[in-house]
Amino acid sequence: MKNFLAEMKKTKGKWMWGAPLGIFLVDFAWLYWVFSDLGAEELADGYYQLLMNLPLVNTITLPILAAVLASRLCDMENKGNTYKLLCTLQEKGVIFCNKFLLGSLYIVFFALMQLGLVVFLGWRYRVPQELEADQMAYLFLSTCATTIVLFLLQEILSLMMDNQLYPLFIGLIGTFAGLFSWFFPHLPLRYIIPWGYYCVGCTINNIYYEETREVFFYTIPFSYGGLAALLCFAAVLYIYGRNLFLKKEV
Amino acid sequence: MEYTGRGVLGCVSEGRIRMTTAIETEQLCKSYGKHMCVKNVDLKVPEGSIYGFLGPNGAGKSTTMKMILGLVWATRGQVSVFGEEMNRKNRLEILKETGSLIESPSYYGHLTGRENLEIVRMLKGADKKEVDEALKTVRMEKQQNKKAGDYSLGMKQRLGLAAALLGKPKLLLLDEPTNGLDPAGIQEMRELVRSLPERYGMTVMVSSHLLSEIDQMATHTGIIHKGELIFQDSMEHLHEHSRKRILLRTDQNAAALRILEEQGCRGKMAEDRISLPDMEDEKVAFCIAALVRQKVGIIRVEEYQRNLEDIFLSLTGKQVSL
Repeated sequence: MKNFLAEMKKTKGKWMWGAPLGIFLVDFAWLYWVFSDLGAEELADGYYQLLMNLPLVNTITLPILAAVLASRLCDMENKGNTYKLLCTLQEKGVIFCNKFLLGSLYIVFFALMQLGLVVFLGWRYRVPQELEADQMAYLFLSTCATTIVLFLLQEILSLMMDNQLYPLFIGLIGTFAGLFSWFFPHLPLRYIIPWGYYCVGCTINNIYYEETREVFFYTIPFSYGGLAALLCFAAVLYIYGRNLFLKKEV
Repeated sequence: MEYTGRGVLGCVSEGRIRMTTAIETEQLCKSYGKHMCVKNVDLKVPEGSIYGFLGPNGAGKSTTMKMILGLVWATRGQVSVFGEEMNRKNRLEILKETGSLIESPSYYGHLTGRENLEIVRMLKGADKKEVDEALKTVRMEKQQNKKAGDYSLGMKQRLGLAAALLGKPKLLLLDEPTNGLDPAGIQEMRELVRSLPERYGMTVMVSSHLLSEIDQMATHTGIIHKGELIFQDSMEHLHEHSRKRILLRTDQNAAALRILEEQGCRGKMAEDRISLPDMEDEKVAFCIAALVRQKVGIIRVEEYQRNLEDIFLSLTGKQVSL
């Protein structure tokens, strides 16, 4: 516990919550803008609109959040040459684990704030639709799992590289690939790359009827297989990344 | 080349006091690929000493110290700290008694000096008041609330030393602590290091490539060159190598050596001269007179004293940074 508290103390004055807050405000602005254009008929499916829009926005913004959080947590150690000191006080694996836990904590808080945003917008625009708890849970689960896995990947890259521009650049490329996967549902791309799992975890879909110019929203089952695959990838990545960090000489 | 383990194999020649070793390494080796940067190093750091680890840049000082701290794992050999053999399982337990400052100081630039020390204190599980004590010891009370990123290099070194002192370690490892400091800072750091064994009963191992620095700080020394420990003993013993000698050059050195031996003055040949131990002026005059009586031509008589630089150079066998 003292190791985790020390990890939290290190972030004092680093504005760690700045990136989650900034991205939350972007989400808020985006969805507010989307909702302000909706008529009463469209608001009937308001929550489905929100629950489909959010994973799409998350595909663009959350990989950046994961990269920024990982970079800020790891770069302070690289900049201050602190591993030589830390590794005489705690196990290297504990350093890796604490950074992962702290980053994950920020992501969980962010995902909870997003759920709050859904409730707020539903209330603000008087969405008549009933808010389904299971759909909210799927959004939360998908957002947390995917972003935490991306954070883990970024953490490994940030710990192993002194120049933090490379991990950020890799994160950015991943973001584009993730976004690409939304528009090609018949390609397996979304299952191959971790950035695509916001799309895999989305439980709302729609059909556009060109003749009547209507959009029909409907739910699809949550991809537990996808989640299992993501978690397996996370476990392998964690073990591999931790070993890589353990082998790195200070 | 001279290597001696005399004096520090558990027993210091100075005062013939039996001492235990704080650090002991056995055939310690480290290689990176085919390059062996530390070769069979047998360090013996007596408890309560200031052990100056001397060697030119790239000799293997930092790597050896990192191996002692378990930051780098040895390719071969063993490290024992206070009699306990170090392995991956007991490393942190052993290091609880150890403070270190390796190469450049470690710090979080966005935090103040005090906050930096608080983090180290938490991790060491030390008492809260120790932060104040450490700040006082390194004379940093006034700058404690400034961000460490804004400190000068000297201040960062002092912050690193304060962090190393937290938890009142029995052993302190300082790798080139005066690097980058101005002359006043060097002197201050030197005095601080020198005071530690007496004030806190610590054993200090300090590395440097500057012989003068080690000479002014250390009670014992180990000289490493190209990864090999080429000398290890007390500073007093090292100084013995620099005692005065009388050098005598004659036109018949072999005959002169025999005559002097007959007069009870044992010497040895050193290149084209006879090297005699230091003696009183009257004795020198007596020896010269004896040689002249035997018709030996005296070409030159001189007094010679090797300084530590000469000894260091003769040990390392080349011109190195001093």
